[in-house]
Amino acid sequence: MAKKVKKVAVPKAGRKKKKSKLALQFIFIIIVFIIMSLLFLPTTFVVFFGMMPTWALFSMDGSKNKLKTVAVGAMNLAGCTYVLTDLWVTSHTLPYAISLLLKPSSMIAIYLMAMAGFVLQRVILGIVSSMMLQQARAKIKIILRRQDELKAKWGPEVTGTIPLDMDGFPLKDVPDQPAVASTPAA
Amino acid sequence: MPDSAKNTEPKVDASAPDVKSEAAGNEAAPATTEKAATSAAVNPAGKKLRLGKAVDVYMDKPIKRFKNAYVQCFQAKNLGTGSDLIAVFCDRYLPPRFNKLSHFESIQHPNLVSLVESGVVLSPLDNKEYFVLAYEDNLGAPLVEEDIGCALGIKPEDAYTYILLPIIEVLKDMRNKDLFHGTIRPSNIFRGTTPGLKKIILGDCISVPPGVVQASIFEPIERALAQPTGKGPGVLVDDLYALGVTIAFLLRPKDVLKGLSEKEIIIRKIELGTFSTVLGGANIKGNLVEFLRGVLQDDPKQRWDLDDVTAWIDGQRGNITKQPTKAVKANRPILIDGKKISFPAVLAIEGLEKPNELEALLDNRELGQWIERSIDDKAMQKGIELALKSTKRAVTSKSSMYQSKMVSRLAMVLHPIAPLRYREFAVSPLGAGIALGDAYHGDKDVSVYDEIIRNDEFIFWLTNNEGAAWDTNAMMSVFASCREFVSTTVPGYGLERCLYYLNENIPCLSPILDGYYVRTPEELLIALDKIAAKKNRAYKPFDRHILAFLLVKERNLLENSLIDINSKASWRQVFGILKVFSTIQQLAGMGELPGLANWMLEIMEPIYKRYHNRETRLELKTRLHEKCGGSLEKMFKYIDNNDVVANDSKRFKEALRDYIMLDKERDIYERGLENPGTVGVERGHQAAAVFCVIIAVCLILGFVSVSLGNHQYLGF
Repeated sequence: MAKKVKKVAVPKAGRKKKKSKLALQFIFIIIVFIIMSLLFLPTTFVVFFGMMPTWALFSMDGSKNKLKTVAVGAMNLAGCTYVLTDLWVTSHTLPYAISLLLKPSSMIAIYLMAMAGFVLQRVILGIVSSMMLQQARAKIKIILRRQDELKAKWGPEVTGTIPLDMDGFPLKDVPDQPAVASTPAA
Repeated sequence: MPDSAKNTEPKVDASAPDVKSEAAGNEAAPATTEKAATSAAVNPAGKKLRLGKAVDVYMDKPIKRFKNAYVQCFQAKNLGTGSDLIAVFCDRYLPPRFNKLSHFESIQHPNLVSLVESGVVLSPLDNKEYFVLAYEDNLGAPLVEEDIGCALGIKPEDAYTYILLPIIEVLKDMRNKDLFHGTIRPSNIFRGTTPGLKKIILGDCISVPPGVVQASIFEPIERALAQPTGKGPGVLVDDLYALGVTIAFLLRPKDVLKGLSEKEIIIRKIELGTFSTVLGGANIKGNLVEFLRGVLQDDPKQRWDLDDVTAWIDGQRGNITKQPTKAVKANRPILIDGKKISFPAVLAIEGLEKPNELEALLDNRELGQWIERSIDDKAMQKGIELALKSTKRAVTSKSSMYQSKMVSRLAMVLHPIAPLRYREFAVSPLGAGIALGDAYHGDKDVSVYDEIIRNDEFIFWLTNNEGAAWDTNAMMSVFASCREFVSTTVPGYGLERCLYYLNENIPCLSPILDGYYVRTPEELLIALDKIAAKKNRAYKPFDRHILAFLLVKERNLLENSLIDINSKASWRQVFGILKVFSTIQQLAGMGELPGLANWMLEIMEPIYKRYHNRETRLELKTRLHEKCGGSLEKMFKYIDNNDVVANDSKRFKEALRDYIMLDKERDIYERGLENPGTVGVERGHQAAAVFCVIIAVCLILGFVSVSLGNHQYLGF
């Protein structure tokens, strides 16, 4: 028993160590991120305000792995890049960053790109869902046909719904029925 | 007492053809076309049968000669020689002595009836097959029409010259062929075609089992006490005994036994000896007295055999020292039901009739004291104790079997060489098979045989007769096997197995074969092949009788398949019996049996259902129907394929697994389709994300490169 406890205890300790390592790494990254944000404050300023639609969507996104946010965010970031290149090339200062953000053309570019991302995401989602729905219906038809073939070849006992003996034969005589393809559920 | 009525009164025999039923038989004649006999053709008129190649039997001309309670006789003609014959239709349940048929046929003696032809014929009278013996009809009249009361008073020298000497010559020939006649009596000795007694002819003896139709007066005491069907095979000294009684009947001037019952005659034989009983003090002149004393000895060990008789005929009287001995007699009689009994053998007879009185004698120790003081036979005394102990060990005193068992065993001890007497049955161990065959006649109650065999009554009898002429150990082994058979109730065992095991001559008595005379496995297949065409035949071509019959005739062949045949799985039953039938067909080199093959095909459904795959079933069915014809061997080869079955089973399991997997898969899709809005959302999000990221990357790269291109002065 003692050996067992020891065996169980070792991985627990390992997991704790791993967790603490990860936590340290995360803290380190945050610190580096904060330092970098402060060092490149104009860029940080533009990204923070330019990516507002993404932050808003992030807070509301219920999709798995926040994929909706990823789609919109990517396009939103492309819009921000349009402003950022100007900032980096012209003057990487906070006042200039503010002036850039206050320019209507910059805001339109950023928010249009975010909206394009949103629209693209909706359209692609619709197309893919429709395709998969059709695919599922076709798949059910194929399965039913295959099951009917199995029933025709091996009899109703192949369905597994009839009590069978050790050799796989029905305990009670069941007449063979002609195979009828069932319609899939709508 | 054994039932002797069969000896004198014709038995109503359902299986024997009845001449009076000729009209009815002819009405049913169409059925004969489908039931051709194995060795005979039926005349269209239905009155004449062909037996073998050259014997015509006239079914409209019944005759009385050789007719008895078990056989019917008809006129016949030998087409080759033109001589008259007697056709004897043998009984199905008490069959002729097949095992001795060829021996008898080979004896060509002028003083013995000559067997011309034998074989199975289909009687048009009842549409049933019978075994028929055709004898030469040169017999003339019998010495007497009726044996009972026979007292001819003929001269001793005539009896010696014309009766004794020819019969002794016949018996010598029979001894050489290991035959026992069994029916020597005045009514079975014929005068022949010459006037007077110059050429007597001894009549039929093999149409029924030995002793069955012999009157008990002509049998030694131990055989006379048995029921007619339970006497056993008999030996030549028994024939000499019968010859002695016959000679005595011919010599004596008057019937001294007139008015006496069979039981009284037997008791008189025990008390006075057969010689005195039969002759009753008649003054017999000449030297035949010595012969009669010798052959009428009641002690089988003292009885003259054929060598003694031959020596006596040759005049060597001095060499024969055997003198008549009387049964053991008590000094003081014992009273049973008011009768004074001085002989243990007589006490056994009376005790069996009055079991309560005999049991009372045992309980109040009177019997023990009588044996100890008046008989002084220690072996008998021990035997009584053993009978008591063994009975109490086997059954409780409250059991219904107790008294029967006790009384039967006491009788065995009191008269060891008498047959086994149990309730109303009196059977010698060697005659058990024949008696059992008779018991099956007309669905009589055979349970008493089951009781006798199960309770080891025969084995107890054999232990009391260890000095008997036959091999006691072998007989014990036979009855031990029988006990095993009756203890097992599955088909192939039971009392049916005992019937065929103990009686090698009996044909198969299966109700399926009703009307057919089947003696060998090959004949069984031929009969089944014909029966197959009948509308009212049984569903399966086998039953308990057929299995027991085959187990005895072809034990090695059937024993391996018996587990299959007795299995609960119907496919195994069909598989097992087809294996047996096909092997018989193959080993006997028989031709095609299309009828039986069709019958087997009708019951083949369980074999098809042995395969899961419906296509395999259909394929097998088609192959069996189209490619086998009447060959059971081919049929069996097609169904005996374990590899296919194993592969089928394996593939079925895979299919079962596949079906369940498909069910699960379908379930997933169907559940998704219940809420179509959710279908493909995740995939859609993924696709959209990937697409947007790619577009975004392209745009970013585009923006960066355009912007940097506009600012080349910065060094980009």
